[in-house]
Amino acid sequence: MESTDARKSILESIRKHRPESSDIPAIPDFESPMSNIVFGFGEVAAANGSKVVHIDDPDQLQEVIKANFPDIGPVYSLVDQIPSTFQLREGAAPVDHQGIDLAILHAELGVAENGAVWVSTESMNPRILPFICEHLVVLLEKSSIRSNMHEAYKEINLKNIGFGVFIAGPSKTADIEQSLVIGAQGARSHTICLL
Amino acid sequence: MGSQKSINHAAAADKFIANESRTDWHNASVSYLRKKRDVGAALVPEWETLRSLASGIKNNVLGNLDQYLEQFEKNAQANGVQVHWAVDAESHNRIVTSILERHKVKLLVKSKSMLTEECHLNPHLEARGIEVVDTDLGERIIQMRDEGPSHIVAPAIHIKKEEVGELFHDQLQSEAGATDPQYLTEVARQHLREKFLNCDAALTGVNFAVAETGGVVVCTNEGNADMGAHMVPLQIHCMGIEKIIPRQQDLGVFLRLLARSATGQPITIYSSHHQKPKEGGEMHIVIVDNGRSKHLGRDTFRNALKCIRCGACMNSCPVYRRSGGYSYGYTVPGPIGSILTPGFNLEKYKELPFASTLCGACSAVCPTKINIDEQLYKWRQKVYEEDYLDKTKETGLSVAGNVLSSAKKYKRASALMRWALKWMPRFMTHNRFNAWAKKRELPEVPGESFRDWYRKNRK
Ligand code: SF4
Repeated sequence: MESTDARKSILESIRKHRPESSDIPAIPDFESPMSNIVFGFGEVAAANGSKVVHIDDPDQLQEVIKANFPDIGPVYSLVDQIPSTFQLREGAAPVDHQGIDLAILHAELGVAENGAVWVSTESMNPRILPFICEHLVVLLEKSSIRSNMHEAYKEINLKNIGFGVFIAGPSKTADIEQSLVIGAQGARSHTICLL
Repeated sequence: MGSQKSINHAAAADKFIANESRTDWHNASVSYLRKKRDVGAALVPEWETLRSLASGIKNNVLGNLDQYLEQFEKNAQANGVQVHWAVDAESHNRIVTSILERHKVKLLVKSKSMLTEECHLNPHLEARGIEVVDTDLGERIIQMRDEGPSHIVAPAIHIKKEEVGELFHDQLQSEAGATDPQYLTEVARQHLREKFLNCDAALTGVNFAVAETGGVVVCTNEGNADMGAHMVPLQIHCMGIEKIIPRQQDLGVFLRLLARSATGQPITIYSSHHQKPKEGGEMHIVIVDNGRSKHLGRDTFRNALKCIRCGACMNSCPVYRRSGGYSYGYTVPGPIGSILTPGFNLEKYKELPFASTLCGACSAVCPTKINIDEQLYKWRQKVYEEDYLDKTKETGLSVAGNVLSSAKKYKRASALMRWALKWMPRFMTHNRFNAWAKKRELPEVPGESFRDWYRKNRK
């Protein structure tokens, strides 16, 4: 097998060429420069192009959706408070999710320093959902916000999931003359409902 | 590494700077990225600590790379991932082709992967009747123009919106004369959506591969890597051996540094962690050497393997900014390209270590603290030792040799050079030792050579 021989020769070559080993540094805890990480999270998320809405009760989600997406088409919801209106055939493939106007899901974590939310296969299926929809709404509990990436990774166990992603705003590009354009290949808008 | 013909950086740069306003425009666009990086970095109080951590983690990786790769493979396999090894570009291309052919793939969507550029995967697949579509907007633009990337983060940074408008009008039937980036991006979105919905397989590059978890992390702003990878059962991720990091917690350090160093964003819009194949799907990871393990054996130069491809060094480089990515003749241009390429083929890339003022701006921003400017100088010595030098550079080198023969002198000279760059950019870029930067307003007679100037100022 080509790959088996290659494996052997690459590892041998590395062993022959690698330098002396050095210790791996321990990563210390870093204090957040933010006095209030919930507030800070909102500020950074907004700067990334996300819309942040504060709610006191999950039942208010209905109103938020109505107010922010008055003419919305098919909805695919993984949140109890909002019914799905997008029709899926049985045994649907990822490609069948084309046509979802709005997807609503739970975010497991928020990161104050960069305004990102973490969603994973623990709470989301199929994986294509937050990318293929035109608009994305995530429900995030304030108590799930961590100050920085180090703190966030302490809560995550990658070994337990199939896929997980930090999403820090709507899909964007600046590939044409550095002009920022929202809505490249993924969702055109990103709304975070902070509970 | 293609033909043996030497890359003539100075001549290529000459061509680039022939169009003065375009050179200025390129310089300004690239500088803008650097400015945004400075703002982003300044917002993180522990920035310098993060750089030291990143550098320390990468040092540890280089010393234990074989073990981490084995650990990575074991964990990936336990996750149900199929792991392949490729010694060089050809074997990488063969492995990818055989996976695709086994699945009768006709259309492959690809997302930004410098490695597959390095391996020239696209022409290889196209010759076998497999359509390949690059899905990052910038990559798609250059693919439609039949060009390679001119920057590792912003591959189409050298192209104007008018040119994109024309290209899309020709190939995607968009409105004639359109130049609005919003409109043009929407045209590309519709075009690419069609490709995503009809593809048979997806291939992405890898930003980080975690030994501890057996998974890979891919960072994009557009969401193109995810639109491909999650759409179809077959996903392939191609990575160089140096992409390994040991622990999940190390991702915290690198993700904090990467986007801020690249564009000043606190994090890319999507940081995707691929661990296991989707239900009923297949996930493949191809681990590629292609000269890297040999480079690991070069004491002086191995640090280049710590690169996380953020692009900050090229954004900071006065030579890159004014000579453009293509003048380097390699997929990875700029300062990092200039220290990687001589390791692949010294004769072919002998000019690149000279495409620098040794100002040190690259090393000062590099998130993994690669000593790029020192390596540039040391490659110059190698070029000299191996007798590849042509006359123009020899003078420059002997001055550099004189200056750099003592650490103290070197330190002082670097400080002077930095000062000169800041205050006397014209002098620095006009003097006759910098063949790459011969440019539009050459002074009639160079007032003094660097050597004279250095002598006068060395006190
Ligand atoms: S050498 Fe350093 S600055 Fe340059 S691209 Fe690599 S990591 Fe970034």
